[in-house]
Amino acid sequence: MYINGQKVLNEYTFPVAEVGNISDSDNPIVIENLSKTYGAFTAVNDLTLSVKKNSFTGFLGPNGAGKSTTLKILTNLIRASSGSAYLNGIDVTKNAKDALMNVGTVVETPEFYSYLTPVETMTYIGRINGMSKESLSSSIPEMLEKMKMEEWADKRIGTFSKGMRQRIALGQALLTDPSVIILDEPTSGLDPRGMVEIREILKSLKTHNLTILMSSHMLYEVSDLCDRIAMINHGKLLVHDTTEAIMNSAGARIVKIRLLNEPTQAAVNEISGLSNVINAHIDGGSIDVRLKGDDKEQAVLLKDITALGMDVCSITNDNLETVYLNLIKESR
Amino acid sequence: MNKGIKDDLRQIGVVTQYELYKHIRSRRLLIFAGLMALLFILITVLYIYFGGLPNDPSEFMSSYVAFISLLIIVGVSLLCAPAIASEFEERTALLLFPRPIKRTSFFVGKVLACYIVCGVTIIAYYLACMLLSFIVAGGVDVKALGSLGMALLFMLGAGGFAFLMSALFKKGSTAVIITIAMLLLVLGMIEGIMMFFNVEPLFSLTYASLDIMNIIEGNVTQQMAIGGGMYMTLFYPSHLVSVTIMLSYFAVTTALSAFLFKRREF
Repeated sequence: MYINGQKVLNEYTFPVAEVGNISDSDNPIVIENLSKTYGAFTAVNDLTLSVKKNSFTGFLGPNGAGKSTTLKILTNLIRASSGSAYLNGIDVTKNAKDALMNVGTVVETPEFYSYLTPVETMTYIGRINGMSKESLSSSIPEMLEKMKMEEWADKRIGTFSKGMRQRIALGQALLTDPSVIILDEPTSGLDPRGMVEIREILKSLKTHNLTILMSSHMLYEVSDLCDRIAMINHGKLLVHDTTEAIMNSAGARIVKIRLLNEPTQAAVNEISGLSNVINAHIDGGSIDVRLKGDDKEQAVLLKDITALGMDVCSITNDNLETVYLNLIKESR
Repeated sequence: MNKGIKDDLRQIGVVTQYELYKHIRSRRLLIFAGLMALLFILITVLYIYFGGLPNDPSEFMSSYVAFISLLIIVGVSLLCAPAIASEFEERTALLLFPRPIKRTSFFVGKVLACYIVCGVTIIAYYLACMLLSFIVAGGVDVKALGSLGMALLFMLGAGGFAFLMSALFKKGSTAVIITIAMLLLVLGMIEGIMMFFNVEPLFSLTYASLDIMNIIEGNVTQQMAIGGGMYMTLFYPSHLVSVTIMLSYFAVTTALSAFLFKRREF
């Protein structure tokens, strides 16, 4: 973060005992009894959630669950009807300017001022945050290189593709060296290549000391990137735990196996007889296997199926989807 | 000075600077400046064609400022009316609103930038007129400075109205059309009707703008016969009335648009 143009690294101290402030250094994002209503419709319903420091938390839920509304309250784009939302200990509903001082955000796919270049845009953002000229002149080229946008540094953004804009959006979010990043569906609307590029950048952030809260519809993306998951529906929190705990909460691991040939009942019977397999059934062109155990047992299963003479094209862990669908179904 | 206020002022300065970039690189400013230049050239060419430019500095300036209020309305409609609505319409608000800056600071920066570019264009027009007056008529009527002051005050009032429309409507283009329609047509029509019934239209910003020219010409309110023993009054606002109307428009509409901008959700 930057204070009066000076870079202050990861030593953010929480303001003490002021109105609208809390001191919870283990949870940089704390949402307390947050509600947002639009007339008779309740988008966020008494939501309480604490995001652990240095975690990459996936924020999941179906369309209309209240994910974007929550993130927009956190990023000062909309007002809460009641409750509080603390960023680094400061209530954003009461003091948005200070609360957002050490936060980087990418909400949906933001549009840029088409008359500005990436360098000018980042300079604008950095100067609003109080970065000095010296900091900007070293940080901007570094960030553009990280986003693989250095060749486009001085071209006007008006001509850029959606993927390029999203990389600039991530770049500006990281420019001020924030300790908290809030991302609202950062890969939404991107083509497959754009999605991969953004995911690679997000993966690289996991090595930094950052607290990231990211909403997404893509379960694969969340299970791949996030170490914690919070699921909501109808504006209420359904579950919040580590990704591993949530994926194992189905009681068994659900593994989807795709064979080279069409799956047959005979193959299913053979797989059902293997060790640690609870049951198996055909699901479309693949076989769904309920398995006792974790990664180790999954590796043994692959070896055993191959030993049976079956040609395995792919083996994927489908637990998150199963847990997600069950939780959403139950909350209806 | 309070550290928080100092930082707010610094951020207002940054926003103003980048909003100025926007205006300088936009077609809208080019159109506004082009219209000003066209008006200047047209008046000059027509005067030369019909017998030559006026020799009296007072007459010279009043001819050149006769249409300035119309151009100011066009200018604020082009530059101020889309300023707020476009942040939401073009989704640039998603980039800047989550930054550590008060919405009020953002609003003030945008307003300042609009007034700076409009003001500089108007001042440039007056300076060109004064220079030509000096060359052709051998001098400059000092009242031209008063007229310039009135024109700038009118710009503040009309600009405030344009910002209010921008804060009220979702689309920048709607805000532009409503601003032009209200200031060029609706207010003028109501003024005409009120004068017909001998009531001074003290509510009207465009009525106040009559003083931009009248400060040079010095006309006074007079009655004129309209037949059937009836009279209508041709009102001219006093300087005090004009300044009061313009400043009231500026204060009320700017405060309202700041309030709406602050409360607007994405």
